Amino acid sequence: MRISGNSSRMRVTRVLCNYFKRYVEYEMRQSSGVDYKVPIYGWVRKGKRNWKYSQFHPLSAQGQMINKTSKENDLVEPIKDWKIFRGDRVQVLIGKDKGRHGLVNFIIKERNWCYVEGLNCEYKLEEEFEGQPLLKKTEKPLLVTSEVRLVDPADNEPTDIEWKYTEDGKKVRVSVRSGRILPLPAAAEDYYDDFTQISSYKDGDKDTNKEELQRVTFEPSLKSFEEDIFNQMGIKEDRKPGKTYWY
Amino acid sequence: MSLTFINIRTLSNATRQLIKTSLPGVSLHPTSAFNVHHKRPTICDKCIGCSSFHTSSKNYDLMEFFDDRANWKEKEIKTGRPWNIDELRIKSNEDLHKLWYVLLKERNMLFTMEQIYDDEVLTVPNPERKWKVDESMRNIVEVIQERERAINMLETGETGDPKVRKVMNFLGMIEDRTEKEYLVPKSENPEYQLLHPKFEKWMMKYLKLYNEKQLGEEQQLKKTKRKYQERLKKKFPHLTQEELELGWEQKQEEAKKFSSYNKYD
Repeated sequence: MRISGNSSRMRVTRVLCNYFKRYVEYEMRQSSGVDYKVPIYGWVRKGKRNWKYSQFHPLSAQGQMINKTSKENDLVEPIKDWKIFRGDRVQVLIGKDKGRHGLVNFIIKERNWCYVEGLNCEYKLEEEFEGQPLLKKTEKPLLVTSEVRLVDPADNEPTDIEWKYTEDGKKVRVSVRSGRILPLPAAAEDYYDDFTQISSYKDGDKDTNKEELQRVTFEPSLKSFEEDIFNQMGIKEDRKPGKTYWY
Repeated sequence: MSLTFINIRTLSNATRQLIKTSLPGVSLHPTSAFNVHHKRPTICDKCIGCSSFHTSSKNYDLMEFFDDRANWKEKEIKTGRPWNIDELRIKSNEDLHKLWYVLLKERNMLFTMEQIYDDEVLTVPNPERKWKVDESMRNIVEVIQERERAINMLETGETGDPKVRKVMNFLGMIEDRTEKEYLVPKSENPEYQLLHPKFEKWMMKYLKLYNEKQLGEEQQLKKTKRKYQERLKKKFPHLTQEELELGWEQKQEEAKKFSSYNKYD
């Protein structure tokens, strides 16, 4: 018998960098909704009012197909300070794997979901493949608020945490029970906001060097931007602009 | 196989893939830019004096509007991230000026490549590159504006930005208007005077109706807010008032995503 893991992973978070957010929202608007005419502006596409976030990314075809049939969204509990990150060790509080520890794989902030590696799985028998029955194993999401809790490294027991500041002014997580600091895992900081892995990425032809990036070339002076460029390129401007009115 | 006319520009990237998988034999334009193998005749082959026109080290001529030949018809093209605003603040004016034109050329290239991919009903690889360039160009403008404002504040005590004033409309409504530059003063501009006349009595009738409509909309919004928060409170009884407000803010942000008129925003 063969076991296959789930291949497609969902990657949505509410914290997106500026360009990626704009890009995703544009694609969402294009895939759902209707065109209509605004009197002076022209033709505009208006998207679906409530997008249903699922385990599939809104850029993928599956994530867009779900939104054509679904109607209502589930209510999501608003969270002020997010506590659980990718790579954290947590304890499952519910289901078949109650009381077991695991590492957090993925997080979906829109639904307060997290996936724990190898836990809370669903098994499904599929058609035969090369003469052998195929068992498919998929991880099911867990609610961050009530179904999962962080593990204290002091005594391996679940705790609540608080965000506090150190004397240096750094923001850290502190466990309520033992008062020990829980540092952020390395996997949480290994990704940019647009989900590219920093450690695996290699610079291409169009990327700038790190030395070039960090070199300081700015020198403060009393010239405006135009005057500065004129000086460097040797352009002399003697003409005076005519009078204009601002209103 | 004959395909009915579809405006490809209106389709999303995912639906393009769906079309391609369901109709694999589609090739509308067999003679596209991809199929040209011979070297194109360029201006610089014929005349020698043209070569001094280029400022870059490599002269690709008109082929600079196209992507690298190695990247053609490739499924994934990996690129870095856009320039942050903090990284641009340490650069001199000259560097920003040069970087602007590098980005402008890149954007032109992306637009031409998108056109070619559309003609051949292919999916554009990594279409987010367009947004990346756009983001760093926006950041450059913001940095330059910051510097201009600082110099203006030193010299005159005011930022050089156009002022925002409250002006009466031609319908009698009072609205914010940012100032614009004109060649003639206000009294000699007939277009401006038509759009911003003095107050008259007949406006009052419609202003009252408009005011009433606005109040109704405000109340409707309050009602939806109250009902949404009640629903939240019923499902999660431990929520405080602050978190309820946060939930309403998050819901409004979601709705804002789909209501903008701009194509790129």
